[in-house]
Amino acid sequence: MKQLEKAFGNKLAIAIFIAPALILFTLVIPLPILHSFYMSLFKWDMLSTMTYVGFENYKELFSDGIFLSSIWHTIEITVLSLIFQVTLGLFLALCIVNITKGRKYFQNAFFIPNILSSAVIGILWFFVYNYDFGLINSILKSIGLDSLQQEWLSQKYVILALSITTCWQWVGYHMILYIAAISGISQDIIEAAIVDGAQGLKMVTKIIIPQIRPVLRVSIVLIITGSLKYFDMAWIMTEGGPDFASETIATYIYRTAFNKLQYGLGSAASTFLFVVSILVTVLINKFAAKREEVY
Amino acid sequence: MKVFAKYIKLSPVAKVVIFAFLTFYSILTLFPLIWLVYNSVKTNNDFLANPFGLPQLSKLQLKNYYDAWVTMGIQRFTINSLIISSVSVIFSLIISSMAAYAIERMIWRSSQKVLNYFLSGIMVPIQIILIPLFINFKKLNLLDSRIGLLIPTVAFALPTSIFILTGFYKTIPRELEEAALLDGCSVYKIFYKIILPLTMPAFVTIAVFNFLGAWNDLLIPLVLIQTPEKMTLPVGLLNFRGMYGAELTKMFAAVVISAIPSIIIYFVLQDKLLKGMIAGAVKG
Repeated sequence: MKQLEKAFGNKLAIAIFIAPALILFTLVIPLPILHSFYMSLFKWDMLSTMTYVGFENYKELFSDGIFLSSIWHTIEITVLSLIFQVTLGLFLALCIVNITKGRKYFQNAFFIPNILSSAVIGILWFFVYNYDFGLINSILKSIGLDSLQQEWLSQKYVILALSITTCWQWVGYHMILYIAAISGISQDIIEAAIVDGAQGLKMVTKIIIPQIRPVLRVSIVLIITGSLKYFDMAWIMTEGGPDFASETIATYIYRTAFNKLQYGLGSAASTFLFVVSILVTVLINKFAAKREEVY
Repeated sequence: MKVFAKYIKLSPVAKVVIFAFLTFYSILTLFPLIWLVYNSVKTNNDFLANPFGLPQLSKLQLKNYYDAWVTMGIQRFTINSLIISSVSVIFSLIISSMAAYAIERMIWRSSQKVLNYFLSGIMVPIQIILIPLFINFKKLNLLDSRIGLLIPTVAFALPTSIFILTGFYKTIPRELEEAALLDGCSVYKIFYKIILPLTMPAFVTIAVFNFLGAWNDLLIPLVLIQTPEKMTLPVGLLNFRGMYGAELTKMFAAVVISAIPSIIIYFVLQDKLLKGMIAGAVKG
């Protein structure tokens, strides 16, 4: 139908429809990424003039012990988050799909933390972990386990404490994704597996996990990319402390740029974070896609 | 979802064990929130003396809520958050539905490339763009302004919204548009009169999703807003954290107040929210 093609191929109409989104998106996301790379080649505190320093900022970045440890903390948080959220999320999902009563209550109970803002969660858990009046220590005290009381946000435990809070916040989200995926497995496959004698653990490892692999991949990508930009909890609860023990790449960027006014160095760290995010996403997608072909 | 439990036959013992575990874990999950709520009506001294115990009914401190709402300024932060979140939702719906319509229903060669361009934005960590944004907004006098806060909030809502909407527009039959075209409608009129009304269910999902996203966001307003009068709820709360001192239980009340709107939205619109969440994650 000529008329149809003419109407829906109307170049002006296409431009009018797409322009607002395209312009806004380009101005706020891709262009600033390039701008950030450009600024990483300069020293600038916004007061004096910008001086071109080449890759000096990157050299400074990788000789800064705090930045290097922030990479390490980010990796620790990523690994702990993967372990806690994927295994617990999957376990909870498997439990919930097997019961009929109270399912709605459990889903809501586990998901509720995810809808709260990180400011609410961060401040709440800041109190939960407090040494003098915190929930954990006061429970330990009331059941006579005084000796187990800890300074939970101390250098020794802070990364673990932050990861537990993050798990509390996100495990319900991943659980919901897994429940949706498990419920989507076709009846034929389950029936055939039962006929073949798949039961219990075998059903989980041979049927369910391979069947929900695409969703597992999505959830792993989300946890890793989420951990790479880990900021809210670390900033709200500890501001990267004590003594930089919970500094992440993201809090480093924020501190360097907005507290220390070293915009060039902060931009170099941003560019580093961008490159790592892209690499990680591409790698996981490649790796996971290959594994899928096996099945 | 019911199907699964029907096909896997578990022994009654296994069911009881699972049920007991889920119950225990749900209490573990909810208890920090319950603890927060009952301590928000204690006096500061009662709380410090016995942080775990329940409040005495004779000494309920409902005044904590009044103080948090009025004296601490939670009222103003809530209004600021409401304005930013609602206006950004409206703009993101308009802009993303127009773009999604052009990508999915109009006929042009690069439409898929443009879609992929938008979707690549889902993966970008927001920290990367904050420094250039801050510097350019300062030059443009957009720092510390509502408009300045709206721009990145809307932009970051676009990728997921466009993704969900293009998926939704795929399902609309072409015949509807053809009929309207034969009746003499222009493309603009088709979009406005035929497509937009059909989009409403998807709009609700995206609106809930984006509203909570904007409502909960910390980093953008933390960087772009400086005066307390313009702060949103998360930044305002964070500002108090440093000066809680003798006002711990008032701080608890402030945190409870901040949590209430999200919880109400969740319970009223949970199906829509979960739909958007699952749809958004599938692209991931």
